[in-house]
Amino acid sequence: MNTITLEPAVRDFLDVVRADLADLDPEERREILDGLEADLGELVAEQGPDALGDPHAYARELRAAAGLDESAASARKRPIREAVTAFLDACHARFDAFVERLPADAKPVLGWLRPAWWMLRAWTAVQLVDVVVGDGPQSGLSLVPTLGGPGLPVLAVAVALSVLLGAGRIWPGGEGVGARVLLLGLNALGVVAATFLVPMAASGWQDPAYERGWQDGSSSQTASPSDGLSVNGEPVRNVYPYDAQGRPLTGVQLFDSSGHPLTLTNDPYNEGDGWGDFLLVPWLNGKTEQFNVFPLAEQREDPSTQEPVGTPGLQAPPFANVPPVTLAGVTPTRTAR
Amino acid sequence: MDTTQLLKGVLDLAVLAVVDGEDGYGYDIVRRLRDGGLSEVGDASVYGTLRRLYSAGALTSYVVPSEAGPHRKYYGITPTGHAQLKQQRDDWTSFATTVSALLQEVPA
Repeated sequence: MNTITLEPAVRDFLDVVRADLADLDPEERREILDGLEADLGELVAEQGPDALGDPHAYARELRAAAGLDESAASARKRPIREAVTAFLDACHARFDAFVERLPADAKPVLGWLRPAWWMLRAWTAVQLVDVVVGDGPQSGLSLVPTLGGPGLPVLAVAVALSVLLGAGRIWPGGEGVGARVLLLGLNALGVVAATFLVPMAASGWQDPAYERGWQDGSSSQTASPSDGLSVNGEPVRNVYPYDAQGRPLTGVQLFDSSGHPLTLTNDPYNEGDGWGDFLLVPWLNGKTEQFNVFPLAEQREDPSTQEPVGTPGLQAPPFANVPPVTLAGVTPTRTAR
Repeated sequence: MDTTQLLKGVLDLAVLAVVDGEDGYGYDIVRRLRDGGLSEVGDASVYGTLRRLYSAGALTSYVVPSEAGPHRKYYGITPTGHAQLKQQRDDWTSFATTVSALLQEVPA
């Protein structure tokens, strides 16, 4: 019997035996398993894979005959790190055995998934930082993390580190039980985080107008009418506030909870100033135009020349009065934010 | 009678004996033992015994690469192994003779 073809069954079998002997000293284990592959291969070539039998019983027999008694090994209470190593090795062996059984054309896909995961976890880590320290969650995540500027270089560095980690070149990649557990934990965290961050980033990416609108609104402290309040997707033409007694108010200044002015667009159709037949006239704070003070005055516009005509004025509110309202159980005093 | 218990006691001796004539690799040694009549000997028991005898210095080992598959690990006997074999053979012979004599006095 000169030719020994490597049976997958032998590999599987050997993986389990190896895992069962994981508590042995590595040198000892290598010694006891060396050459076993050839022996098992020949056994299978001669008698078929069924001759292999139960790998666990085999490992026990091997251990007993070699004088490395299992009871003795477990009696001298194994340190926790060895137990963890053995457990991780056993899981790895099972996974390897599973991969070995996959159809041949599925294996390259798995091979590609590894570097793909390295990239994804780097991206996830940077996005997580973006969410924690950056303006991530409010703006929706962009596909490339921003980090308020250096997002792309940071992402590149993160990918490089992740790949080195995956290749076991830097800690906590590679050997050592502490490093392995830490890496496992980080990967698990990455999987969980990625399941949240990927959909967030994907939706942010599909709706760039939303993000742009938010950024415009936040970056300009002076009221800019380029983009503003909308209802049901339509730009709001004007706002008519009423007090609790239902009486119309003028000169009401509106801000959101972050202190950003709530403004209207002065250019809903993207064709120069105005709504076609009238212009919105801002209130003034000194010389600063304020488009977040309501109601805004309107001024007629000549459709042909687009020049304002006449004098600006407040339009009649939609209702002369509205029903009075109350806020049950809340005293209308305000505390400074 | 459970021969596996008996086998345990003499497996070292049996393995040393079959390696003594000619070096061999694991499965080859299993085959020699079975051909010699120890049909119930387990592969793993033999391999474990080989490793233990090697650790004790009774056997030497060397690897023979194979083009077609994984390398084979050959075992050969050392002077220590020779001495052990001789000692155990004498012990066995004397033990077996004693037990045989005892048995002959018992009416069948």
